[in-house]
Amino acid sequence: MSVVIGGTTGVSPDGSSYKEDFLALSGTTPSVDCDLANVFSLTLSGNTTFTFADAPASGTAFGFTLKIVQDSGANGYTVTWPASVDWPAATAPTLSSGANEVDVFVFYTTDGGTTWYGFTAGQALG
Amino acid sequence: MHALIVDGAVAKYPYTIGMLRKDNPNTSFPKRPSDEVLAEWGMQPVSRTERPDVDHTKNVTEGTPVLQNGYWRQVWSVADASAAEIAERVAQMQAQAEAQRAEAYRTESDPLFFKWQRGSSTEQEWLDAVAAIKARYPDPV
Repeated sequence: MSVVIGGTTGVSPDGSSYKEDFLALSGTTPSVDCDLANVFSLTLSGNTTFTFADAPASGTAFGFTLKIVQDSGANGYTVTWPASVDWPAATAPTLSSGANEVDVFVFYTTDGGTTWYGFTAGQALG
Repeated sequence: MHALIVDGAVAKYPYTIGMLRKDNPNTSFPKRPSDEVLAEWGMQPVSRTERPDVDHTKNVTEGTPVLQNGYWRQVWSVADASAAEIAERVAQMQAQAEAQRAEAYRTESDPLFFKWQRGSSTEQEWLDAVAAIKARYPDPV
């Protein structure tokens, strides 16, 4: 996350609001680069495998939000997460499979990305 | 009904979506994955075939699916049953036939017997009913 006081992201000059960068990903092997944004989105175009890159060093917490959009053809593509993601009950969540349906996930790490905790924030949105 | 195909051979059968999820805990699958998506994970549909109808002297077991004309098909194998298996099945069939006959005697022919005893029916009617029951539930072998 880039913090720009008075700019488009970060803390506003008077401290009244907080903004984060957003980045739309593409392809079937996207990388979530922690240096670039805190909110990402991807419209699935095939079975997809994510990588999470450039997490800040251990001791610094980092979290991001990921919006997954199913394709308009309702193909029900799969998403493979990095092995470092720890899901509740050690099971990756089921995805929505309807056309253009949206699932939102939240991840955070405090150990430089060795372990990412993954959570389902919402499903079948949109 | 699906099989997991690895390098063109059946690796696991039967193979369910639940097993696929368990084998790939880092992957999120859609609620209702299509056959196309499943195929990308090596999960191929297996078409059902009719189980052979055999008598008590044979055993039928399901084999490993085979690929025919580009489709995986369910296969069955038939083998001779052992003497002990045959004896057990004959005993079961015998017991079942006897039970069915006993119930039919109770509800069908016995009333005719007592009617005959009271003079309100004939012996032949009773004998015919008994013969019909024996024909309906014969001894298996």
